[in-house]
Amino acid sequence: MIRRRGGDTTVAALLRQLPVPEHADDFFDRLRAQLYAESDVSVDTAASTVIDLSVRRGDRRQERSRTQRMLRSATAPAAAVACFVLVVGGGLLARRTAEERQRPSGAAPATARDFTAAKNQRFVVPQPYTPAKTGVRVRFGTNMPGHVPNREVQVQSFEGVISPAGDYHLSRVAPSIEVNFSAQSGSRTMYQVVKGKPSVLYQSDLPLGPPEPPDQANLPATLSRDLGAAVRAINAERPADVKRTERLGRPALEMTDQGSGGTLFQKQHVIVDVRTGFPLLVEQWKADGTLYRTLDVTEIVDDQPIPASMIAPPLPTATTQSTESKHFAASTLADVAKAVGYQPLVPLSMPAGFELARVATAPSLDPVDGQTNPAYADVVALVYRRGLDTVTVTTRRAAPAGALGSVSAPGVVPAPLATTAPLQLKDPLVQGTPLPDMSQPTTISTGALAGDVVNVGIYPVVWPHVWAQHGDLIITIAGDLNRRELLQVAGSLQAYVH
Amino acid sequence: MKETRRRHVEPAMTVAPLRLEERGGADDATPFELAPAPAPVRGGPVTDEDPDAFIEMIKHYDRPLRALVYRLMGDRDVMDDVLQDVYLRAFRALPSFRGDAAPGTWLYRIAYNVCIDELRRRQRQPRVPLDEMHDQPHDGIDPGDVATMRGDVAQALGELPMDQRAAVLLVDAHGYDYARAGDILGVPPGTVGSRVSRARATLRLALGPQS
Repeated sequence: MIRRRGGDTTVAALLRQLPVPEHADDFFDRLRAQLYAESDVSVDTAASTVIDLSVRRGDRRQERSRTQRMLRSATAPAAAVACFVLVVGGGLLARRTAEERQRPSGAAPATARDFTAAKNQRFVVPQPYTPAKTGVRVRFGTNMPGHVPNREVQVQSFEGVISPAGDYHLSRVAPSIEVNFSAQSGSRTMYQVVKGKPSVLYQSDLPLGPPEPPDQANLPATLSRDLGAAVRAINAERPADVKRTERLGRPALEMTDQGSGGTLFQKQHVIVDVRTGFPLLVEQWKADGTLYRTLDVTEIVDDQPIPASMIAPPLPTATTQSTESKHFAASTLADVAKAVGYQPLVPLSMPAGFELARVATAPSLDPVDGQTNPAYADVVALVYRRGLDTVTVTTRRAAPAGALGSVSAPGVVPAPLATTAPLQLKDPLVQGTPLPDMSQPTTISTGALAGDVVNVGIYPVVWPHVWAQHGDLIITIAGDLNRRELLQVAGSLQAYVH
Repeated sequence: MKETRRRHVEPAMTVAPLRLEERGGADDATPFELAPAPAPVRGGPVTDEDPDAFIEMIKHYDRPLRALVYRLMGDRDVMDDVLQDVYLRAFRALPSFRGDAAPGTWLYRIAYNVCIDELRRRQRQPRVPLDEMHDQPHDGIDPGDVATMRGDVAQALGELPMDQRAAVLLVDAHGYDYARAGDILGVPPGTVGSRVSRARATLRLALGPQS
């Protein structure tokens, strides 16, 4: 096994994240036709370039059946021990028994009735702001951060509309990009002109939020909403580190930070809108003093209803269309246990105002970096919304090291780790990035995680979050919560029994 | 030819599962070969007489092969053409495949050889179309840090010599160790190591001094 450190780890992680094009739509049809033609060579007389599959496949199957029956009867015992390794059967890795897999160790299950009752027992943590509930319209300029020496910082202009339900429309003026996102269906449509051709990409079954990579999450990554949530959480626990100010005529929080940018940037200056949590200004500088990233909001409106026509306007006609699934299938709390094979951990207690908005499961996920944390399987994700504020709670299995990698086939479910020995995990929200893991351990005393050490991450580069390992499950809670709220939610997790 | 092939058809069977210990432990495992493959179509075997079962089987390996071939050839249409050839060659070779190598390694080796053949035929080094790498809709919309670095590394990768590109992809992106990458590339492990080192150095440069 090759051990890599520092830049090599970054390079390897980036190589694994490179996009992989899909085949042309008729790829497997063409292949099938070729293979049948090839198969005919050994059965019939000559290869044919034009094949009537509907007729000839039937004939061949009859012929194959005869041949295979003969071969099986003659050689079945030898077949059992021979190593003609082309199909790797299911269940090839050590699996726990069904009973063992069903319940997270140490978790006292709660029933659906318990969770319903808990809805009326939300805890209230005083906030320095009233969450925006009408959606946001915003104009801003931002750049593509440069890593190539001497690359110029080019600011591009964007406009965005985000509804309180999480739907959004985002457009870039030039070069043109139009994005429509539906929070309810977890799908996104992106229009862009690629090499002169108008193209549309339909993405479905998108992840619900962190720790999945930001370009798959349910907010436009360009707006760095995670940074805004982090500054608000820092303000709640270390108000001396944050300055109250005003920008665009709105109350804002301002802070300067050094060191949390890892190898990406050395220093940053951030001003965050108090009501919406969106950064109004972000400036990040590299160690040599050159600008790494800039985000400058020039207009923001949050007190007016957003018409539906602005959230999902019709997109221009495209000549090229493609589809992509991100594998997070919509589900319900009642159904997730069947989908993933264990009872998910669900918070009994959430801050007042948050409501469960969407539940989804994913059978397997590529590891973010592949070199530290194992691959993930049997992922359950819950997203809670309070207007523009979101909290994402996920539970996932740690799959065997190297079981998936970035080359996993969609839908392939790896066996879970057959051990409860602590894994050497990195913070799931920063693994695979050049950002540092600055999460701090804290022991939980209540709920399914009682006695567990969880890690709290409140620092100004990622969503405020808690992550923990519980048996072979990895738990994450991330979103618009401060430390106290995060720990209270973590301490209320219970295995959900329908 | 026809008779020869039929004499070598192995009997139908599913195979003893690959196990971690059989492959030298988890650290030695390639990422996708240890993932359970989907159940064979209709519960039957994979033989050169059942194209549908073969297609179901190769779909398990298709994505990593696309990832490799696209980065080696630099064009999606060429990737499709190459993989048609790869799968056809693999299908033809099924009767003689005895499991000496893991199926994934076997398919990788065929894919690499087809790429080499195709490149020789074209008599030119491919270049990954940079604008395409940067402007794919799902990347272009994300001006985040990682997306930009991906673009940089894709550009630098496309400019690496073919042998270095294949080595660093197999080792760093696909998780092969030097020995098995060497099996695929047909070179000793030490040669893989030196190619990977040179490739990484070039890629690190492309990411700038911070990386």
